[in-house]
Amino acid sequence: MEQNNIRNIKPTNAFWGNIFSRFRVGGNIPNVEFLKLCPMFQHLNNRELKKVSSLIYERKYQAGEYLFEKEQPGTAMFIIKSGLVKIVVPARNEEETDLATIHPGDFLGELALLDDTPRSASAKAAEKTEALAFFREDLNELLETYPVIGSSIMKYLAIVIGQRLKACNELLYGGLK
Amino acid sequence: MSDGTGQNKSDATILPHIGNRRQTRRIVFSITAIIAVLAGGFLIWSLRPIILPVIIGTFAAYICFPLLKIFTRTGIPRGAGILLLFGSFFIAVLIIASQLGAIIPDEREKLILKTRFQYKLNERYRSIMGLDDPDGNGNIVYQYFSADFDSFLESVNSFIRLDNEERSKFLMYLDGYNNQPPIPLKYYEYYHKNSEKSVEEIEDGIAAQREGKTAEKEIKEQESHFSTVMGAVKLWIIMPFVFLFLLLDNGEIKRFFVSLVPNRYFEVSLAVFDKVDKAIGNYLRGILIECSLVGLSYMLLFTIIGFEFKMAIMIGLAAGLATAIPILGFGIAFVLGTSYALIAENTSSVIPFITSNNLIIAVAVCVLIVMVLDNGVFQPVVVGGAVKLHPLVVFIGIMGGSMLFGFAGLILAIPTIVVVKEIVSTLFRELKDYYLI
Repeated sequence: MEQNNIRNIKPTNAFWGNIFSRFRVGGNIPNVEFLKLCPMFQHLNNRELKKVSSLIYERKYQAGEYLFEKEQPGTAMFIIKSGLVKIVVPARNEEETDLATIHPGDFLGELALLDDTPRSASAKAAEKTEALAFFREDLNELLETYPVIGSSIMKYLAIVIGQRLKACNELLYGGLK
Repeated sequence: MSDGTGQNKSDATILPHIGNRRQTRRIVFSITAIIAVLAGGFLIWSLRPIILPVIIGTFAAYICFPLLKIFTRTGIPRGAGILLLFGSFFIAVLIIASQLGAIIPDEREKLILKTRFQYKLNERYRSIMGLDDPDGNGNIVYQYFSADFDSFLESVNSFIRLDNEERSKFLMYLDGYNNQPPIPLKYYEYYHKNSEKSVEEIEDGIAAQREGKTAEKEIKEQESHFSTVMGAVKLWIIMPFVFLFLLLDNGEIKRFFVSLVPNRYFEVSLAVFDKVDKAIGNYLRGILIECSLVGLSYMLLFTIIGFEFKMAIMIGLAAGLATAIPILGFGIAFVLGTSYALIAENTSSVIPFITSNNLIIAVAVCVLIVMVLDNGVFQPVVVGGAVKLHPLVVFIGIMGGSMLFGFAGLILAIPTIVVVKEIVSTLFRELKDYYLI
């Protein structure tokens, strides 16, 4: 009974990415300014943001290209700077089921900052997309060399994950009620 | 959330375009990779004299990265930390260079060493083969194998014998030359016995040289020494700069290479870079500490068994360096130690029963002790589970490295093979983990 209810829950965009995102931004903003819009970094001062931005990798994706694929070990978190990304899972008939759409300012794959467990879904660029990647080992190194910055990011990462868990619980229990 | 049909249509228009791009990209990457490999090979071959300073500078930087992290963590600004490390490195290089200059035998000492070595070698040979006995026929071993042994000894003698120029020099140093003290008469006796030519003949040649050519030769020698030093400085000046720029690099080199990687391999490339970086760093730091500990052990043990302090340091340094070469390292230490034990005359061992006659056995025991220490303590504690290489790979690597790049190839062959092995094995492991192969 409970399982059937869970299956009936249809994930929404809010579940995936838009809890914190209040901004819709373009691709021409410098990385330091852009990072301020991301909840995980917005409490850092300019000097700290500059340090973080020196660790960020900029990637450009064509429509249809994958940012990461399901079952691959996670290595980096992605922040969408411009474009659109779809969270998809492979379906039985070789098609893909869309789970959510990620807009500029949202981030995805943040659990990869904690460990390298396989990705639970794939992320595919729906149009020409610019993304910023933040590598787990860079965060670990930040924790060693600049513990104030590193622990602050970790704290807000924990908050984000907590919020998502709450949102998930809300959906589950809401569905049951 | 999209419905199936709309999504499929847009995919159908996108995918052929992506296919073409992928094909073009593959061709571009293949051509670029081939050109890069060829250009890299050509550059490495052309610039091989600077390979050693570049690699040593890189290794030193790798070893210092954790120190820089510690400085940053303790609140020392990165710039100040780099300055501190660079200053320490520069001072260390200067001190080592000046100390090596003092330890490495000069021309006079080299001539004495060669003379001593040849004389003592022949003396020991005669003693072991029983040729000093009154009948002079030698022992039973000699009687059976005299032809083989004699010809081998002759080939060693011809290798270490002083040539005409060295003989002239020896006689010049005998009376005191170039502000150096005269060579003790005892070594002149050795020289005399070693020399096949008559002493008068050589002395005639020297007299002629002393009359006319000495001044001219001195100027030439000074010039050649100056140009040698300048040449060495020109090559080795690169080392501290490689060290400095690598410390200054804030991930830009890695970022550049990662930016070249196609999106499909982006995450796997990050994982490979990180794992290879850690493995190489651990290996290099481990091997440096192991070499230092082995070198120090040799210095200590050789001093205890009665080597001259200067020689104990020199052989300890060489043997410590040779530890970077697995298997052969101990062989090199043994050869160096026994070579010195062969010519040692006045041993001053703190262990009473060690004399110049049984010094070779003491050297063998020392090498054995260090071998046990290295395998039982240093390697498990310091190097841990670092990369193991098959002995055949070690031998082929050393031979190939020394044939291609001389001394630099000999020393750096194994670390280079370890680095390449680590890159390849990590790459394939990660590609499998990411289901890419």
